[in-house]
Amino acid sequence: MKRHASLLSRIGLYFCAALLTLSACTESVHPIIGDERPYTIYGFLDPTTSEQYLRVIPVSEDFNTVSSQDVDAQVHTVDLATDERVAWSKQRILFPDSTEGYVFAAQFTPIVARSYRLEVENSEGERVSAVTTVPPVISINRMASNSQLNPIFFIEADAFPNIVQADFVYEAVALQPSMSARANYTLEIPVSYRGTESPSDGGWRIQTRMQNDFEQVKEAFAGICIITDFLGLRSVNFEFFIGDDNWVPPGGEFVRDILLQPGSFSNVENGYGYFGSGYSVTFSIPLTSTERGLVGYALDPPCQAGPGFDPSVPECRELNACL
Amino acid sequence: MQRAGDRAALIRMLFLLGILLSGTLSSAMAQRATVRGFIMDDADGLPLQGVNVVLTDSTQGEVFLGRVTNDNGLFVFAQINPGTYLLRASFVGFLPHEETVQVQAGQIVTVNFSMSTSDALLDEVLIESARETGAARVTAGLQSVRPGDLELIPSPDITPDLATYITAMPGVVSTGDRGGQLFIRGGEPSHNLITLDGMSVYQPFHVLGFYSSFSADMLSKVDIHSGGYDSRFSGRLSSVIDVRSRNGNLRQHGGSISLSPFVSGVRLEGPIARDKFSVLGSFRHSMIDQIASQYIAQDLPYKFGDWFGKAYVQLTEANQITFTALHTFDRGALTNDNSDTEEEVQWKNTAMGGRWHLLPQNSSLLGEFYFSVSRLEMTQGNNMQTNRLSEIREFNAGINLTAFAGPSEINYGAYLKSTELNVELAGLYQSLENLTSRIPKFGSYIDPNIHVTPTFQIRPGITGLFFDDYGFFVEPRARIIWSKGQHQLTAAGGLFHQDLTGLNDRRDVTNVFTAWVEAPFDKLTRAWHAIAGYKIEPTNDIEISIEGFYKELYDLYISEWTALPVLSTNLQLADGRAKGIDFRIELRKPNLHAFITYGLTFIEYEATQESLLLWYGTDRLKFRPPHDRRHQINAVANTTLGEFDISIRWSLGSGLPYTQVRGFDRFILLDRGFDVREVPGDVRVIYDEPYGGELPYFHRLDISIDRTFELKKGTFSIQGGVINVYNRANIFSLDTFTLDRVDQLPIVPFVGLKLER
Repeated sequence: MKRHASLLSRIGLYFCAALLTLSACTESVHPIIGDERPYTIYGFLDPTTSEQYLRVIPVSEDFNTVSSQDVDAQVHTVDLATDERVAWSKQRILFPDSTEGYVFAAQFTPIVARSYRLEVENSEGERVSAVTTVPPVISINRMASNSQLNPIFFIEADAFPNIVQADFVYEAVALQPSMSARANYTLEIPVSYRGTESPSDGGWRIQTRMQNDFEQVKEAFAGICIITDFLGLRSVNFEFFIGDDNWVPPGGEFVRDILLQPGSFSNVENGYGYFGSGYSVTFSIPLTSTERGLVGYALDPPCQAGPGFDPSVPECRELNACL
Repeated sequence: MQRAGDRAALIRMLFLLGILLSGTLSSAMAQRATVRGFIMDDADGLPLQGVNVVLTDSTQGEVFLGRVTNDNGLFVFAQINPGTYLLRASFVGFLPHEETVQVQAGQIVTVNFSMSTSDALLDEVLIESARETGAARVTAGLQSVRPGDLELIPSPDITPDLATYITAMPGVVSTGDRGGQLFIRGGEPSHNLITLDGMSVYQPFHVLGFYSSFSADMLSKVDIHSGGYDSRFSGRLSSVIDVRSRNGNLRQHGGSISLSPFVSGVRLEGPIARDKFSVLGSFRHSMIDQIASQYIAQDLPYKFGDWFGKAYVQLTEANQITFTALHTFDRGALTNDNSDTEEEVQWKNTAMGGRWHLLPQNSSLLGEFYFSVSRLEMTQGNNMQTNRLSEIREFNAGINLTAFAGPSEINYGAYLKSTELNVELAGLYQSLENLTSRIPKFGSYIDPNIHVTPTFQIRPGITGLFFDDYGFFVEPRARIIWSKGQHQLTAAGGLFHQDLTGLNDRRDVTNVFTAWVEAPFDKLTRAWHAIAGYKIEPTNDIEISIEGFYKELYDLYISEWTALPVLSTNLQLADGRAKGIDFRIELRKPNLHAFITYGLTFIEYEATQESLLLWYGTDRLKFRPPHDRRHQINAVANTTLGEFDISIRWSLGSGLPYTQVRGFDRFILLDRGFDVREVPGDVRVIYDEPYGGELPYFHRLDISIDRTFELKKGTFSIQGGVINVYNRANIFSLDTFTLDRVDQLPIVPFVGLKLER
């Protein structure tokens, strides 16, 4: 009996010891394992200006401080033809959405057809680099056309440039009757003409069609549930961006969901992002009221928004009911 | 055109089936005779299942034929020679029954009788009733469970629940103490067909993982098919949990009331008309808010409950009607977010149905006619508004017939099902914002169970499914059982299709919201199963089984990868395979019942998203899905010390895969020139390879001690115990962005009381 009791107490002791051991071995989890690539970089050298800017984002292990934390980096560019080395200086930026970040700036004008190497290095000696060759500055002109509504643009160049962007950008406003002027919704709607170029004598031409674009503008408003019965047009610009030869996304299209994956479109060694070179060309397209009307935009809305709002006007009553 | 061809093929198949069966049966019946009957329990008037019935040739005294009564207490000796037989029925714990039966050519003789218990043999009753099921008693993926089996597993409720038992089975992965999601042998929760008396119940597992809608108080038997199931079941890819409720006592009124810190409940039952009409009803409601939360060091904002009702009408032993109804409700938030905008999930199941079992006087066909309506409504939202809604309604009606031919039987039947789906997802799922659809479908099956020799059974089956939207599908199935002495070899396999898809973002385990939709890309998910097992009983009290399985899965719907720190519900197709081995050993000594199960599982999915080639250099990305628990051990023991009944369970599971994060940066789309001083970019997650990380092992010890006191009329039971005895911090969810970690339940002591009559 005594032996039995001693055996039981010994088993009890072992049991308690085992429980204590098991309870002590709570395991922590480390879901963030770190990345050997220290930076993500976005920027390009612009041969049309002497002010260059570059965004440097440290790859952070803290979700809450991503991009707002100080950047431990020295940034240089090297002209590969002359070995001239330019140091960039750091600036803290407050973005329009109230987030913060760091931008590096340099004062020089990149030379067309020259290659530049970007070097970003931290205090631990980790280095990120990228090389870009500045594209030639080409001539883009608006051709004389019978129709103001369907202007033609001519690109004069020996070799077809890498057109990253060729957008007709419409700044349109949907007039929503209300007691407040804030009920006017303005959107910038780009309509892409990238890839519509056709060869012409000594260059390429792009035929635009504003009347066709009008449907896309309406759809953009309808997509965010804004009534498009009275669409006005504030301005139209044709915006080009000519990039270096490597500024070509995989598959040829800029698909956000695909390019979102880190590393899917990058020329940065030991880092993420893209460092390129390029420049913008923008044409403003002046349109008369008559021309706007011909395209489909409203001229004088019968229901005036803002302080002039008059609910007794039938159109205003109708629209007010929809809001 | 194709559709018309499919319809014609279906009609031809049914026509041939009818001719085949009627021809075979009518010629057989003219020459031979049938002896059959129902055996009832004298105590409550209800059918006795599992009774051994033997026909002995009265002139030679040899055992001629043996049968075991089915769920309706029915035994049938079909196609026997005319003559005089001695019929003997025995069931351990009951007094045996004997009578002489004389039968002539072409005659069907019905012998109905009751059996009564013997107090001296009561212990044997318990032993024997458990032995028809058992933790190691698995037959080609099928494990049967009786209410008595549930009592082995400790749980914080004095009335055991099916959920705790299922999670002790190898190959079953659950989301843990909360969430109510079960993954069976590689399948997803939406791949499980769960039925109660033939009615679909879409989300029967409660938000707290210890509980389902099926308490031991209302159960008769549960068949858990973890794969390779027979042709009666269709429409799901992975498993079937076929729950059958018990009928109310036909002779005595009874009931129970129970109270525990987690759940309290009431049960009432009894005859409305003695031996003819009984009812059984139960109601359970969670008490977590009121009691358990007061002493557990963790927020448990859950509410759930269920009510169950059943009416049983026994017109004659051969003519029984049942009506069953179930309603469940669940509500809870699974994150640590305590803000006003914290989202919680709610779901409600409602199911009602009737069944009519009929064994006509002069026919050898056993018929079952049934209908049911089921509904699941699931919502997710916060105090302000409902953000997502998924609703499913199902109407189901059909017939199951069994024709007896010697020791074999032919099961066949047909059903008509209409499923209506409604989802409102606030644009969260790819092109699936608001959808309403109705899916009518028709199915028929033939499932002969052929006893080739006394030791060898084969069950080749075939199911024909016709979907109005997808056409006609044929699903071949087969089960084989070979038994000799202490050895048993089994195998099963077949093809399975699923038309409904339960969309859920599995990257977030706290997200149990499931949107039920039609196959989004017009492709039915399908699977091939193969199972092979061996079982041995080296001694009377030890049973050992080992079973291997393989499932090939096609056209699964999974979320697309995205690097944004939000849940992506864009869908991509994936194929997959699940394979593994389950090992079980069970010991039944007079004062010790114990079992150990081990499951080794490998699950692999292959995603086919178009951009994979760019991202990973391959067009098919293989990965471990987040329910791939590689190793799983459950050790359960139950013993009696004096007047106390003690149950212990220790469970261990290897870590589940998850996707690790390398870091965070920002993304700017470079589709134009931009001023880097004006464009902040979107926060982006730099993920490591999908599901390349592994969470820590899960392990936990639970103990419960019960004592039952006999009262003048009834019993009073008290239960105490501890969940997570050594207070292991098992992880439930981890937010990889904020590192916010939610653990499973900490150490939880509990006490339960139950008064029963």
